[in-house]
Amino acid sequence: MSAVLFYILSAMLILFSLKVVTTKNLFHSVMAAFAVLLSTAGIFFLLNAEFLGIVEILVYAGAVTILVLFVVMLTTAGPQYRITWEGTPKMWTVIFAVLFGGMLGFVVLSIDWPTARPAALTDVTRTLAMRLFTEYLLPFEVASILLLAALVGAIVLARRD
Amino acid sequence: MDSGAIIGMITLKGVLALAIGIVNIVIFIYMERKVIADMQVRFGPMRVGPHGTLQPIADVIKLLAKEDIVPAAADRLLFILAPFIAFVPAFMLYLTIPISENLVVADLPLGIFYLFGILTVVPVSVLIAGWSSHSKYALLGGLRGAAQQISYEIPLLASILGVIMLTGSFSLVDIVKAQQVPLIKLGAFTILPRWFIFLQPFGFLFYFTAALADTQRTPFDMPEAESELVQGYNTEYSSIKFALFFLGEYSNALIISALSVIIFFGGWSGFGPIPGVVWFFLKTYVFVYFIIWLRSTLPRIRIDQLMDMGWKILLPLTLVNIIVTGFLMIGR
Repeated sequence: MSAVLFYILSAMLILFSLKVVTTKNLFHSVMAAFAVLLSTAGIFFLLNAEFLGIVEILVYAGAVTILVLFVVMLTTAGPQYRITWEGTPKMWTVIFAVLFGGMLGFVVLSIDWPTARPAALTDVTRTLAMRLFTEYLLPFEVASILLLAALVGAIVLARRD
Repeated sequence: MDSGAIIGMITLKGVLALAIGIVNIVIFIYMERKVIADMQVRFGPMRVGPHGTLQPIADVIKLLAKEDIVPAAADRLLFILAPFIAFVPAFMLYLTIPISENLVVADLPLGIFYLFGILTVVPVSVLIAGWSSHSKYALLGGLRGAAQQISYEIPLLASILGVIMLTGSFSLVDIVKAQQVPLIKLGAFTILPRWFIFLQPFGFLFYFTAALADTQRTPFDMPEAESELVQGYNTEYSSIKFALFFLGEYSNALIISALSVIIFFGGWSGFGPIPGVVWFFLKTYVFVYFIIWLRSTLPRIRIDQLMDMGWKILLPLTLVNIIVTGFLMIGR
């Protein structure tokens, strides 16, 4: 049952990911990314990671998709903009694609992935909060400051024009 | 049970939740027409059935019988998809609403979190509908709607964090159970139950304001301001697709009322021999009435005032509410 669901979700994930990069319509690309995020959330649910799954929907599928759509609508090119390959240096594109793909492949192959399904935690939120605010407090705060810096930087850049 | 029986049970429960949702939305729509008519010294629908009780059914038949038009310039696929992206999440919400202690499809340990996660998908449908219609009114309505919902989701979630801190659980059933003990007692009598409205009055105020804005009810119905935008993001929709948007909106408003009862007003708990289910629906419909009352009373506020209120007033206040609650919990 869950294996069938996993394959359906994975197929959706791969197909929509391909759609994100192959479509020429900017708006369709964002919509395909929305579908990718929803399928990712589905896979999280299958892996007993409900908290992560809901966060994926709440933050990425809900908020980030909307913000990206706003950016698409408000940029000068507008949502009717067609993505083309004209003017893109082909050689550099291929080199960077191969490098990035190689890096991803290396990471995927070098990790010893656990194959057994982890047991469902009973009190996910409490455990997560305890870990986040004691053991991983420093990385958590550093990430917060990084996000804040990005936010302030974006406002400064937007204010300039 | 074998897996076939389990799937059967899940489907049955889901269909039942959907049916309860639709019946209550129909009652909501009828009630809205009658209450607004009453406040404007009219009768409202009177002809279909006794006192117009069959009017919602006649409305649905009319909508279904209408021609389904897709504008020539529209983005066909997304135009057809948008109503479903609005409708499906709206009905996924009913799965976690506890009508009484045992009458709940799934009491998720992350119930509230799940509800608000699903609610965030709604603005995406609004924006898709607005853009794919290829009409300026729809696009403006869609942009307004999405901007409004995304601004008010944060205070909405932050306003109930105080309650979650006091309960120590995200489960809706646990939240109601935490409200079933007495707050002030006189002998054996309970004068005040420990409803969270008494412990978190400001939390409720912020929650209800943000909820009204998030579900686009008056005075926050900018996305479909009839006087400026025709009908907003669903201007170009007709027939069953319009009905799906319409049902989705009413469904969200109903869920907001039910959640006010569950989170702040003790859910199914009441007194006397009356069963909990009756109490739950009674309290929910008090809020439905209140929402309709607001609609017929208040004028619409401006979009810039709305954004200012969300980001500069409501969000800081909800954060202060969380901090004060935290200090009071430590101080106890």
